[in-house]
Amino acid sequence: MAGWKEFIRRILHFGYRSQFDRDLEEEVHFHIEMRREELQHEGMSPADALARARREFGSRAQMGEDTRAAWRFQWLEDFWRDLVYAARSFRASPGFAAVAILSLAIGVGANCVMFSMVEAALLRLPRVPKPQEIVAVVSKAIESNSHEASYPDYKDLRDLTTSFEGLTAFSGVNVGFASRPGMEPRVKEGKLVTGNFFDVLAVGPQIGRTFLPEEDRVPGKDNVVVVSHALWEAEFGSDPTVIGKQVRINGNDFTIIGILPKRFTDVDDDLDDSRPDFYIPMRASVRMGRDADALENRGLRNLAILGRLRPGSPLAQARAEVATLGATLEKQYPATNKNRSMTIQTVRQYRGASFGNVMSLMLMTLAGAVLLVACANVAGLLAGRTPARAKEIAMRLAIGAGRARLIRQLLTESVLLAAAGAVAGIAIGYIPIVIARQIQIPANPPQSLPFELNNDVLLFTIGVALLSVILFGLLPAFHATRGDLVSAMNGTNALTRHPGVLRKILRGRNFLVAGQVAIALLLMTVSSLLYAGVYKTLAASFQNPGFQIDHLLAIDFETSITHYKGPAAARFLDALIERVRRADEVESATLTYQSIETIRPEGTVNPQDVPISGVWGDDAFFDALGIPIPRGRPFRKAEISHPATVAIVNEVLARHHWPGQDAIGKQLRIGGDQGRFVEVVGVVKLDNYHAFGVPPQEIIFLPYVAPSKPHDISLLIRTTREPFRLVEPIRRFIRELDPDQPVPTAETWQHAYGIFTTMLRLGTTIIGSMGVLGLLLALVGLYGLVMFEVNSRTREIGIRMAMGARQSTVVRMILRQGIILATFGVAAGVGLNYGIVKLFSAFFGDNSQSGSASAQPQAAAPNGGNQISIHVGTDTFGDHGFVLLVLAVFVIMLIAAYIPARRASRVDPNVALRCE
Amino acid sequence: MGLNNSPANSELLPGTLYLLILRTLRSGALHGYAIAKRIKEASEDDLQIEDGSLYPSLNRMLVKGWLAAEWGISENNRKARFYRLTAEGRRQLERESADFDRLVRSIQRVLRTV
Repeated sequence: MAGWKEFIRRILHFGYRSQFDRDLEEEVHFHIEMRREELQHEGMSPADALARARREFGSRAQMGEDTRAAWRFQWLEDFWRDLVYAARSFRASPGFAAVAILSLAIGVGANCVMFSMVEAALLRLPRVPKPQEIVAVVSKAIESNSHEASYPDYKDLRDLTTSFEGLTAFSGVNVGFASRPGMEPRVKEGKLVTGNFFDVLAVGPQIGRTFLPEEDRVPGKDNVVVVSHALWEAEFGSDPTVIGKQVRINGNDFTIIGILPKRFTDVDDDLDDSRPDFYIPMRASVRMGRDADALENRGLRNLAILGRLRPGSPLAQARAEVATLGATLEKQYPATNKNRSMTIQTVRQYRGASFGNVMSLMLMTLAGAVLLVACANVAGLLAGRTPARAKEIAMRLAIGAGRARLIRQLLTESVLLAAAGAVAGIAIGYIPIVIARQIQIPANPPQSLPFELNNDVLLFTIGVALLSVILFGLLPAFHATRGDLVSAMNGTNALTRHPGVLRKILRGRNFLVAGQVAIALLLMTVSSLLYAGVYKTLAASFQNPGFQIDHLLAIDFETSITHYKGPAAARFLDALIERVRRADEVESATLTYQSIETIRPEGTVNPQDVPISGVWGDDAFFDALGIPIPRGRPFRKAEISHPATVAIVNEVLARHHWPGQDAIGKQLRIGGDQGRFVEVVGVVKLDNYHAFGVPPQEIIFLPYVAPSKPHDISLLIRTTREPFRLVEPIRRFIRELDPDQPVPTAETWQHAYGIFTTMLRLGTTIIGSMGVLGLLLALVGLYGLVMFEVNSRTREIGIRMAMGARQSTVVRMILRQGIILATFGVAAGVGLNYGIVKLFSAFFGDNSQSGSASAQPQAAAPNGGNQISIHVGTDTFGDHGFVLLVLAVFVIMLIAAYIPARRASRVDPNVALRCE
Repeated sequence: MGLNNSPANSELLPGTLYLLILRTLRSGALHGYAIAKRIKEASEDDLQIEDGSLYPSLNRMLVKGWLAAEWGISENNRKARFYRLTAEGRRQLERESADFDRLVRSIQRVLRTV
């Protein structure tokens, strides 16, 4: 408190300074005059009186200084002086400054880039007012992974809890969207939301309005839509008069009532989620192809729930309330809510551990390691300057500068280095961020990765830079200001005088460099492990998916966009595929969809119902996909469109249930107790169907029959030439058959794989660079250390050579130090390395053996599930490779030690002896 | 800061210069010279402050807000800068007096008993 007032007074004084000097002058003059008069009264002569008065006053210069000092910001002036001094000393040794700043720039820059990814993936809160109040309510069951709830459950939550200011529910939906009635509809993704969605999030529209409470009451009545900013720009050219205009969604006319602001980016699940293009009230879902009674069905769970906590309502309390309600509902509705619990997750928890998030965290750890190496580097460099400055420091200590003051000065140097390193690091870091932003994920509309150099990232980077000051600056500062004053001032090398001290100091620096080597080695190994593991996963999935993914066009008819329902839909698709098969450049075409089937194999030891991936395809399926059938046959035309009597399985399944036997002819029961029996007529060699990076799974192929319940169906087409050439013709076919059917996006699976590989390649490039960077930094560190060695022993070298030592002896002497360091570092690195390998295996799962059937069925999603495991095991990298790596590092270290050693041996003894 | 030690010699305990100045100004504003003179007179010449050390202290006290300064006319019609206590200064005076008394008494106790 008093401090502020002092601060203000000093600030005010600042403008008054020159006047103050004059005033002080006048005041002193007055003082001396008064004394002189007094003395004159006592009888002195004027001249004597003046002299006496002046003498009594004391040193005016000193007094002036002290008085002015009272008003200064002392620490500020000291700081400024230290900065200027530091800058000058860096300019005097530019080599040192350049290496130090570059090392720091690399360390800080790496963290900047990594953190921008972590921030985008994990940390960024939704861009709504008071985002920390937003939580997700999840409904969990023991046997499933999903978090979704049903509408009746949501209603009970909304009406029976008090901890929330508001609760809203929503689900994603794909529709055929035509910006003007009559235009060809395109598939777009939006959200069905309850009427209070925007109120709960406290987001207002940029133009127009959001939903009124009554607009979500009567099913199918209020056809209003709120449109995202991106869609407004893309489809309507940012025309502000679109409010009130009609669009056609799944054949129904909807009125645009509002446009959302650009900044609003919804509460995404995940980095990979696309942004919704539009929002419609939940009760319009009947027009989206959902059942009329979907909102009454307590067992139908497809809604995500978000809530805003009441201000002042603690999270734990809300969580308890929700859990209690969940238990109550479980008792009240045992049919639908058995084994279901409800709880609250924060937005960050809700995002969960997707692949992107795990990757980000790993990259962050790597970046941290790089920073450590960089700091060790700079610390070593700083400590290496100490002998040269020992005299200067000793002198200043001797004339009375406090040790604290000197440490402050040395730390100021470190801060200057860190600041320069931070600026350079951010500049360097900006480049990869911009590059990453350019990478387009080929979705529709294409999306870019949302990495930003925003305030959070900048703050973090500055924090990292400050942290690095502590890491590399503190110890050398303390160390440098200790010291044996006498011998430093004499110029003799304190170190050679006291061999105990020498060993102690060198051990400190040794530790630094050995540590650097160890961490660099670790970095290299971890990156190679990850690289190899990830690459191997990629290679396995990509090169050997079991079918041919080139020249394969996929068109997904999702239920929400399919115009027809039920038998009409089946007829439409049949007609379409007939038309497609007759077209040019089509080699074969098939209809297919996926599901989860429970099978019970006959004749096994433990007949159990096992849920596995089911793929339904017609007689052209295996042909179209290019899946060879080494044993048995594909489906026959007669078997299609009838309830299944036959099935084809993959080797994983066959091996699991009938090991050592021929699966052909075996029977399976599908669908539990009431299910039908099917006979196995073929076995294929396919580990995964359209899934990335997962262990091999059991798959059963069943003959295509139009599904009884609405299902997403894909039309797969093998083309003779470029697949995308067929998109226009197919679009024409669809229009001819039904002009109101929106055309889904056509994709090649090669493309889909391509996205995945792009992401992974990005990741592995970064990982690889981290490793290389770390190694480079360690090399620089070692080089610096040996240089220091040489410099501090220049005199000794000179004496030895003057006494007749040969060059080679000198080289050997210096080199020995380097070898010892390298050995220690490598040994430590190897030790650390085994620890990390164990950790990784535990974390990612050691998958050196394949063939263990996994009990995780792929969710019926055409683009592969969200679970991705990376095959990492010691055998993926190979012990040979590791030994090679160690040797390589060792050799490089030796070279880095040898060069300065050589230089040392060339020292002219005269120069050495004269040198201080 | 420094002192002129006269034969009868008293070194000021460090920090007591503030206390002396505050006390001297208790009865009214004075200019710098008067303050110095008053302290010397009141201590019967035992305490001699080097005049030069007065002004840095006065200014430090200004920064701390214990004193306020104004230009005025001295008793012999010269322009002089007058210093007076502020409310905060009065509070500081009480605090420091109390501290000082405590210190002296405890030293006296030790001297008596040991």
